[in-house]
Amino acid sequence: MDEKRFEELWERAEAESYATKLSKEYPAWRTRRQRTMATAAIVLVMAGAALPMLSNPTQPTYDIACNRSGFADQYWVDVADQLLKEV
Amino acid sequence: MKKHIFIILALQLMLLVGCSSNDGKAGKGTLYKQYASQPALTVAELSNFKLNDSITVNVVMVQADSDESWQKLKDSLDIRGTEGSVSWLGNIDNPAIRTTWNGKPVTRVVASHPRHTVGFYRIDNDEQYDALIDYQLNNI
Repeated sequence: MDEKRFEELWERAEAESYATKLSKEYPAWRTRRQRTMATAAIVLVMAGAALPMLSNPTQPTYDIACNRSGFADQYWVDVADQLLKEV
Repeated sequence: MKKHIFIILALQLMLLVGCSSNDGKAGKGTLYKQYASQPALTVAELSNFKLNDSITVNVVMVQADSDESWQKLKDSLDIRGTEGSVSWLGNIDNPAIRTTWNGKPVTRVVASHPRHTVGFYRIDNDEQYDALIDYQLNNI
């Protein structure tokens, strides 16, 4: 082990021991912080999931049913559009 | 703790409402059900196809998967010829019957030979009838 590595390990040990001390002396603070972080994570995930719905409000939303899988909704929108243009 | 649970539940409810609001009428129409049950036909029902900023129509598209099924579909709708596209106003209950616009619900039928596809555009009122014509004229 060289000096640099020792310093790294020493700093880590100090940080970890300080965290252990804090968690023992202030357990309520630790659980509250975990809860806050968990809530923030859930909010972020849900916001991310909702983003596509909000990202382009002017984009028309279509309700499409198809008896076969493998067709993109946009395919049928295009077909409906092109049929009218071709006639 | 209760506060956090409440926030999570509220967010989930909002997300659920946002998703379920997309549940429309597609796939429930008589025409869709009639063709969707037939083999060798791919059928799609599109609710609220936009003709302009305020007018939409419901469309059912039937695509034949083979030459045989296309010929059968053509025969059932009395479609003649083999090239280009044909269009007519069809009776709402039986689109094969040609009719004229008299303010009552009809179906604008557009059949494309090269695509082996028929589109049924439901028209319920004057606004939709005019918008459909405008849509076609503006896109020539």
